[in-house]
Amino acid sequence: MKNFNRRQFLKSSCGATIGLPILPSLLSQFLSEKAIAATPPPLRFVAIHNGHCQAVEQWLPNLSNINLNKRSENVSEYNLSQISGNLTPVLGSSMDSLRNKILLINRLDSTSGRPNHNAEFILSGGVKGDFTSTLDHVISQKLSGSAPLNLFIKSVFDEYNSGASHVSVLNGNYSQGDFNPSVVFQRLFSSSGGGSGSTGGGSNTGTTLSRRDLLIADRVYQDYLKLKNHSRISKNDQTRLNQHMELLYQVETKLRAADQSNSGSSGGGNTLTCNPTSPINNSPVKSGINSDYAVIIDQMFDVIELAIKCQKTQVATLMLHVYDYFAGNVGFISGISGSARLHEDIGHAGDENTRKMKLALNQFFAQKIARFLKNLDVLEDPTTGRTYLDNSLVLWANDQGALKDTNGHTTINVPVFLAGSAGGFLKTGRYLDYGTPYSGDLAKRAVGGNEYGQYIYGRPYNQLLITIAQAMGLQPSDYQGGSSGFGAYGDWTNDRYASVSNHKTEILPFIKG
Amino acid sequence: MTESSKVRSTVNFSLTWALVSVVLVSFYTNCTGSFKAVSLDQPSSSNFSAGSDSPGAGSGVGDQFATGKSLYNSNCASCHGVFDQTTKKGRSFESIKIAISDISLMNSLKSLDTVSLQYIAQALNGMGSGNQSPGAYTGDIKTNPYLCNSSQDPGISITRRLTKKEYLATLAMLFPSHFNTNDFQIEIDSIPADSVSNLFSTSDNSVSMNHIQAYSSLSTKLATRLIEAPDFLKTKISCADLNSKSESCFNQFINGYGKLIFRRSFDSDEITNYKGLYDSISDGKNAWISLISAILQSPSFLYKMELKGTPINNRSDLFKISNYELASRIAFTLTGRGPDQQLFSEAESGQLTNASQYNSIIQRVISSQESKNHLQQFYGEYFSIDRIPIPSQPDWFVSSSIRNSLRSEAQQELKDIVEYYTWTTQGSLADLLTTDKNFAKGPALTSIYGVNSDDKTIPSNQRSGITTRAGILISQSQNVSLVHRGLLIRRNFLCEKIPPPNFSDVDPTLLMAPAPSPLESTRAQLEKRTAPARCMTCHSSLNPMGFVAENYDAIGRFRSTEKIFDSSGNVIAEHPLNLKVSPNINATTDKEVNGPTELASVMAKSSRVAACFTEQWVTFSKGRDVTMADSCSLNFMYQRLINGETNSTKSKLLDMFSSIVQEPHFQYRKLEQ
Repeated sequence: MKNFNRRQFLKSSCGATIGLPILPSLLSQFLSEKAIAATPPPLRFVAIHNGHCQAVEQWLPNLSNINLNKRSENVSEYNLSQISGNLTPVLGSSMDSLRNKILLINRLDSTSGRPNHNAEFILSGGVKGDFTSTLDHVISQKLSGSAPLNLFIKSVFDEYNSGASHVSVLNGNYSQGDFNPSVVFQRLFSSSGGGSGSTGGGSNTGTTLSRRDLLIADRVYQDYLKLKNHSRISKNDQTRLNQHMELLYQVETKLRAADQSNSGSSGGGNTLTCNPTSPINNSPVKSGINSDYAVIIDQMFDVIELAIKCQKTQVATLMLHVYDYFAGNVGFISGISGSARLHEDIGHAGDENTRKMKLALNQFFAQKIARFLKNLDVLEDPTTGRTYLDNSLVLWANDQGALKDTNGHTTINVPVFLAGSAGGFLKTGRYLDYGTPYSGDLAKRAVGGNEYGQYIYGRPYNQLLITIAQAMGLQPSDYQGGSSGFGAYGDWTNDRYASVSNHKTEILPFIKG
Repeated sequence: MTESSKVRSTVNFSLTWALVSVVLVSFYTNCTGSFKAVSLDQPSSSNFSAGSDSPGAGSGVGDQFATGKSLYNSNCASCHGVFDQTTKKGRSFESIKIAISDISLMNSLKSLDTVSLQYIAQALNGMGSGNQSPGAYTGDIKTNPYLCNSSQDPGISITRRLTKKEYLATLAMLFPSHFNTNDFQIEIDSIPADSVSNLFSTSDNSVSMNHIQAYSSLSTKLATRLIEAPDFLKTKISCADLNSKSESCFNQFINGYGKLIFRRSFDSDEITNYKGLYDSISDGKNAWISLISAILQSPSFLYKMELKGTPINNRSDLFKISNYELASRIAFTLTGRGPDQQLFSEAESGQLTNASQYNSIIQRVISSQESKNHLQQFYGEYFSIDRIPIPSQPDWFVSSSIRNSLRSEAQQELKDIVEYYTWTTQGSLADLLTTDKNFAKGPALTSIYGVNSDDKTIPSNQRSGITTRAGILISQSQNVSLVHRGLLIRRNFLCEKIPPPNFSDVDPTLLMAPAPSPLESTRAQLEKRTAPARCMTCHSSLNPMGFVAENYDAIGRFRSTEKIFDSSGNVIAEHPLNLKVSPNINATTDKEVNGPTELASVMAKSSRVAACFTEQWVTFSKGRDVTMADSCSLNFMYQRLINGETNSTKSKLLDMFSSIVQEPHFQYRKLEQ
């Protein structure tokens, strides 16, 4: 339990009585270019999830004319620049200019069959309830002491949005997310706003952060504190109120920092002009027009891009749609026709025609992600020549994989796409296969093993999460929750991966730069 | 076990059972007859037990469950396995009774009385899930399935955050001229939507940073608007000049409109706290903005706090809630927002403690437009009106003009039906479930039903009740999703919690919806696919409810065959329909039904459907699943719902809705342990 001695703080920083009218914004909006140049750029992590069953061969290079380089008994690689034509059916040519900045990974598996439309798998290896918090929270807490920016695309037709980001879990509960990019933009970039991430100090939208807010927050906090200890508050109610108070405290901490910064007590603020020239206004989240789905996805990526470039956040997640039987119609996407329900008609597609539509859908997502990555791939650090993308790690993954010819809910061989090297931690530009090589004809197929009996398991997906954690500068003690490894491990851990040594303690082999 | 020990065991059991029987029979009664129309005084505080560590402690959820489990283990375990591994999970009261009668090996259990069997059935229906079903369904709507022990504690009340809807509706009620949603759209969108659990959005009690930030920004913006509005200053603060601070103005507000915002009077600590804030800011306007903003962010505003009640029998976990808290409960339960000035004043003046005044206040509240809106929200979530899929069938299947207006017309029809039977005619649940009245007004529905907008009825041989209307039947594609139709009926109307399939060990192709085939009907394909025992655990319930409605196509048009189309819309095959199913509603009392109109008739007479309707209202209102501890409340409410079945009174839906604030336990708070 934290020792919240904020009354003392208020007395010391603000005095017992504060005269207003309100001071101008106490948060400095700008960071100095000079200061940036003198400080190594921060690392960032972005996780993207698009959901539903996958045909994994669409995600992998065509191996028919390739001889993989064997690095060890169960690790093979290939240089992406040497692949002629499209990298993969899903990526098409959209990522061609980024070939040396991405990693395609084959044969990472769940350690159980539990994940089933559970987006949180991509940051935990399991299902909510089987672990405490997803990796985005762990990283964000370590890097900035705040929560990540959790975003989700609400289907424009889905009036019944669930409100949860689904990718992200904190202390056993789905994190609430944002579905309206203009609201997020407003919060991050309003003339007086400017917290870091969705948890930043921007407690006021369109008004001025001020010492007044600090005083209000303090009195509200006192009110909660008194009630929390009431004898008629049950333990569970206390837990809920504690959570509320913890969040209030975070807000107050930000306000306090802003107040100190403004008054010069902490050495002044940073100043870099980061004034987005194209504000995101009036996102069409309620337009009911199918194609606005594409507009909102672009706007979401724009918000993340701006938040990264303006140092508003270091960790973000984006779920590209809410899992729902009634999710919107995506017939506006080229290549998709007829009944076009995201989940039932495409997600569970089985025949050749619907598999093509599944491919078209993923190509659509790939183009959106390529646009985002290219926007990040501009110079950030003149000293090292690294771009924002270089200093980031972008994960595009799914909770479901599938072997060729199947489209059901299976957690084997989940698609994994990485971009950015996390400041040089990862050696990008490669395809990496983490399973024992197939032989004969199977070796030349994108998905070597076909049906269940022929698939040779690779490595637990969790090892990728450990890799990401370390790439972002975390030590094992930062992410291990009392036992080795990270996230949820299922029943298959010992059966299928018994021979994979040190998968709970080491990063993926041969992935480092 | 030796023969002698078996005998000893039997003797011991018989003695024990005799004692248990005597206690049970004398202790438990079906409360149905004992409740008065307005049971404000029921139960009196003396009915409640003195506490769990006192002699004669009341029978709570755990006790009832334990009793049922114990009875099972004593009487049934030798054949069906011990309770925790029983093969008879989910058996109903009726099926147990019939088995005892029909199976010779079980004839010896005829000595078990009805109450004992009901407890066994309750336990079998609730084990392991943590959500014990409080009902023991006999099948007959006239038999109240809920047992009520008059000394039983109420179900628990947790401290709940206002839902997003409640929060916004409360602000709109408090500040009707100043809280204009258009002006606050950014702030409103910043408040996370409440997650839906099962059907309802009212159980989300989570809080996130987005909540905190949104509450803060909205409160300060609204407070600024209020302080700049002359009418608010005049009527709510009564101090014309806010630039100069005044203690009397502060007191006037805190003891006046501030109380309504707070939903109770401030205690001295709270006054000190907020006075401290007010005093710490020298500028008058900013002091007021800060004060109002802080109150709007306080736990007493954002949460439903009930801490001021009177302990019952000196217990620390059971209270009669205060008048202020009662007014809040009534308002949130029936209108989905905090109490208005009138109700608040009635609470202050003690009118809620008078039974007849209480009754007339309830009648006024439930007749209000706010209550109507709130109940429409319940219906909307209960019937999944907002989740009706967007029809996306090709033009050869349905013309674009019909397709484009179908969803909105279907939503409106369902709203009109509930409006008509809940308020206009004050009808019954049976009316909802069996009506053939025509509510179709637009071109899409009149075309689909084959009626004119001014027709009084729709063809009764084709449709009966709400479950046969387009809004319940529409699929997004041209293929009917039989499983999802079945799921909707079993989940929404029978309160079954159907888990998703266990995907880890199933051939994934089995989980895909069967493609229409010229060789085999969809029903035949689905029957084949779900035949394995592991599937039938759920599909034995799901499938019949889908099969029985096969005579409606994907947009709810009546059909007599299943047509198979090619990709251009040409019919390449037709399969006859088989609408005969055993609906699996009341276990062994079920008879085969042939088609949806027969099913609707069975549902309208089923205690299970009526009980589910009651439970859904309680679940929605309390924001949690019902438990066995709610059985007294449910007993009372169920009786209100089916009044007309057992006496000459007319059954009214509205009676059931209002009964939730009239049932005996409504005015008590049981603290969560």
